[in-house]
Amino acid sequence: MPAGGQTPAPQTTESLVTHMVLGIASFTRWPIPPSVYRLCLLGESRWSSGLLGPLLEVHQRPVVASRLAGLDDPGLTQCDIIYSGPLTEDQLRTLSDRLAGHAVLTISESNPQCRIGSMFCLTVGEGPVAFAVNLDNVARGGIRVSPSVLQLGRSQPKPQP
Amino acid sequence: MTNRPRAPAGHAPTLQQLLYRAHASVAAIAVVMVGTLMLLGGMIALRVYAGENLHLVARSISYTVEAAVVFRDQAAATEAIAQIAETEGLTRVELRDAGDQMLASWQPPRGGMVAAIERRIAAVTLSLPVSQPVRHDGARLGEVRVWGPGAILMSFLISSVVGALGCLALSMLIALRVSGRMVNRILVPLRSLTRVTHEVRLQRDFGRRAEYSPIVEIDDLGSDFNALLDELQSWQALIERENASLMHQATHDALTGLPNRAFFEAQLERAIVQARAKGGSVAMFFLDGDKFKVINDTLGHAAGDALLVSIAARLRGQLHAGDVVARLGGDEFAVLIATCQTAGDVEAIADAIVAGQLTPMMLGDGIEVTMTVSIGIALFPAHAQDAQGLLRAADLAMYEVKRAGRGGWRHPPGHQQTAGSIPAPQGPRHRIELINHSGRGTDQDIGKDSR
Repeated sequence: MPAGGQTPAPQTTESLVTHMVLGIASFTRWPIPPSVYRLCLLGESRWSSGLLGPLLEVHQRPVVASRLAGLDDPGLTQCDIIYSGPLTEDQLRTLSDRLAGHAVLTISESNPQCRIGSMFCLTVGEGPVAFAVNLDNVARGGIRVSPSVLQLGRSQPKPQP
Repeated sequence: MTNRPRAPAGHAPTLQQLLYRAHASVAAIAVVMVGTLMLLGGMIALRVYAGENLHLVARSISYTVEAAVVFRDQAAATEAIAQIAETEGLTRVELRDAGDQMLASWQPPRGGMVAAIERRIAAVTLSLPVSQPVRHDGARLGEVRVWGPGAILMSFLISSVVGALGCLALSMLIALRVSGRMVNRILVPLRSLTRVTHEVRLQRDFGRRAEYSPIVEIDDLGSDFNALLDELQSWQALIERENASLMHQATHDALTGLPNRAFFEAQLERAIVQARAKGGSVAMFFLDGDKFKVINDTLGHAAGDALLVSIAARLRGQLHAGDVVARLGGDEFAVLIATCQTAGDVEAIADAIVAGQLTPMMLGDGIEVTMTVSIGIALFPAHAQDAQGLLRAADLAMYEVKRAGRGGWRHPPGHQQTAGSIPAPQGPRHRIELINHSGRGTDQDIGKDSR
């Protein structure tokens, strides 16, 4: 089911993606609420430019975005949110392994199957931005996501594996 | 009898109608007042509860659509709203974003007239719409507007009105029963009073009395009525006594106690009417004391009166109870023989009277008087055809006796031959003697003069 629509502020796909990422983050609770949310960009993400902008907030806390060098980046486990661009299945699996035991919200820009490595998978097309949820990954991660978001994600027409 | 103004029948209400109207109006006022109060109180309480309920519903909608608003998922928002709105029976829901743009709205399928009335009632009683902001993460994302259901209010209104009407009908029935019972309690003594009044009026039975009544006012009325009857009864008795006394005075002579001329003439008329009808006969005597005037003048009025009383008593004693002895005036008496068979019988009676008066009468002061009488006999139908004629004939006959000499009796002139023998006055038998036994009597000869 499509999300988004005609709103005055987010017109571009970048801004829609930014709104979507911050929205998901706002419905997510971390075991220890961070004073500053570290948003890490991984891979060659296409629509993430909006996330690098200033004055982003989640739970009335500032969001600081930074790019990770790769999956080996030592700062990977320090992230609170990881927004990833297109990754291979191996890379996704590696990411999943590395983040095990860490409270990190993972959102993938291009993971149509949404099977491995991501909790939320955006569908960015010509129209509005939508998302799918991998409940297994959400359950395994150390964070809590509001059921109302899960419900919205679950109602996605995308088949869940 | 005076005529009091009276309402035409059919317009005057009965006691039952009056009582029923009073009871019914009291019951109706009570029911309407209580019903209105309860309806108003109920509506106010219900309005508060319904308002709070709407706020709760709006808040729960705002929580439910929070995520959908964040992600601008209109379909999800609409679905969530519909789910709640249908269960809560809302009439309209709007979801607007912070810029007042419509994100989702919901309305039930248009109902019939009932739904329209419900909406109208809700719009009047509740302050609609109820708004609740949609907040997320400290920011105000939009607003939920909810139009509440009028069904509860409507059903409350209807049940209240139906209940009030039911109570009204019930109290009318009770009023009917109660007034009926009251009417019976009032009417039973009233009817008894009416019956007594009626009987008193129709039968002039002043001995009747109203019975005791358990209702004080009616009992008072009955007591007063009884007192009035007491007075009426004694009045009636008094009037009857007065009437009898007056009647006696009008028809009797005060001195001798004998009937007077008017009474005698009436009796004579009646006897003649009866005799005429039956073909019988009537006999009467006209009787006059001889030399009464002399006695009266000589011995005084008191002696004359005593003499008259003696003559009357003697006459009365010589005749049957059915015969009438009357004093016509002065020393004139009349006798109506009711039981006369033949002229001979009548003459025998006349003889007896004449003879009877020969016994001396004792007046006061030892004066002894013997006074003869002259009797004129008249017979119906032989001598006259009516009372006046008979009286005249008897009078004439009496004068004949007087003219012939004192004492004795005669038939009217012209009938003497048929009357047979006339006993001629003879000797001392027809003489008036005045004997003074006390010795101080008069030596005046009163034997020569009379009338």
